[in-house]
Amino acid sequence: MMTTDRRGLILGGAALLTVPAAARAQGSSQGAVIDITRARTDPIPIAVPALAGGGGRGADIARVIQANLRNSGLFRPVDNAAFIQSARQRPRRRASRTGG
Amino acid sequence: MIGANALVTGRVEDQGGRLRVEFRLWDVLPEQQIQGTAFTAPAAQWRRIAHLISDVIYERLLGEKGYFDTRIVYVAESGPRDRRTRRLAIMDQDGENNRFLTDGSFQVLSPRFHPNAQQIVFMSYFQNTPRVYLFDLNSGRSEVLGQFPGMTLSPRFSPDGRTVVLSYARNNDANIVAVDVGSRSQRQLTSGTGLDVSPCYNPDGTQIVFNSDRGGDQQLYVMDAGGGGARRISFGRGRYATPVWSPRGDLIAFTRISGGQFGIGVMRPDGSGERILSEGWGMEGPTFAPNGRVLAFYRESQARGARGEGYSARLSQIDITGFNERQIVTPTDATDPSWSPLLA
Repeated sequence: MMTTDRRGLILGGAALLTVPAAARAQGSSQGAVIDITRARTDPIPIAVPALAGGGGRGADIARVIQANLRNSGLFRPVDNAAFIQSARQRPRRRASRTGG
Repeated sequence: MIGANALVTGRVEDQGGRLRVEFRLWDVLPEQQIQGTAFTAPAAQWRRIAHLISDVIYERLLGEKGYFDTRIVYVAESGPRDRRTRRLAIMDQDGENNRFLTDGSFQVLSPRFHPNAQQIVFMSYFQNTPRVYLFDLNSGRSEVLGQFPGMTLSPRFSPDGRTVVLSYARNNDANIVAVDVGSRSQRQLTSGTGLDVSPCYNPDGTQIVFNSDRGGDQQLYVMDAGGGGARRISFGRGRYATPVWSPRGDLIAFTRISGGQFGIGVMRPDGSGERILSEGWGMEGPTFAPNGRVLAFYRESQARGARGEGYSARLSQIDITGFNERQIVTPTDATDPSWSPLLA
């Protein structure tokens, strides 16, 4: 079970990594800045699944990041199981969009 | 649907005692990478890597600096109230990696960070003599900054770290003094009758906020950093104490005592826009996170018995909007926190 989930996550990550360089640069320079006053009442949902590798450290690091973001009151870390489920679907979605 | 606007992915690599952590922050809907960064640190410092990544996420998504890669020093209190032990303690901002820096053989009061986050200035009554000490976090050693006639109170570094302001009391008067850390020379900044205490510089070091009873009861005043030009800024109900200037410069946080209730509040440096963020039986000593968005302070609960049964003192964090107050868990009672600047 665990292996399957992890593979799904890695595949999802691989699909994201194929975003063209031009799109990446654009994302970088525009910097998705979210209005902090709005965020005050509406925490930003963010997925922080366990980082890959490093034995259990990847999961430990993700837990600390989740706790920091949650404690700030400005972020809402989403349930990891729900995220992994959708990450597994991601490669199929991309594949159909590119026709490949 | 993923149910998230942003996604963090990453990989940890163990490089023989050192960890290399590569992470990417994604904007989910356009599937665009916002940030990709790698951090390397000794394996034992994996929490710091997590805090550094948290700060990058915070800054990229909110447009202002984070505060997670920071520490808090405080006074760790234990023992019965009439024989209290007060130790200098330090922890990460989330309460982890707690360490006691002194052994409890002498009392520690009012620790404050140096702007380089490596030194702490504090008051102690070692051998019943009040002295101001500098504690170095790298060496674990303390040195005496100075011994002053009478009672010394509330030392605090200037933003450039070259000066410590404090107040010393003699003959029912307390005045603010600036001590040059290098030469140890002193310069008196206030004079006259009244207790002038708790000085704190603004971020560019040109002004000092302090509290004084020169007008009858304890109120907040702002003066020029060289002394002079003091003007009162607090005009609400009650007494005001422990002012601290936000690192962003836009607010001054304080303790207000009114009708037997304590409150932690903020106002603009000209005294306008006063807001009380939290109130209770006992709370005091606000300190700003380096981004000026969050305050830490301590909250006391009332003793039930004559010997102090049921008393506790705990650290809290609160957003400057007044929302999201939460306790920072410490192994002992905790008072008088001071938040470090960002470590990196």
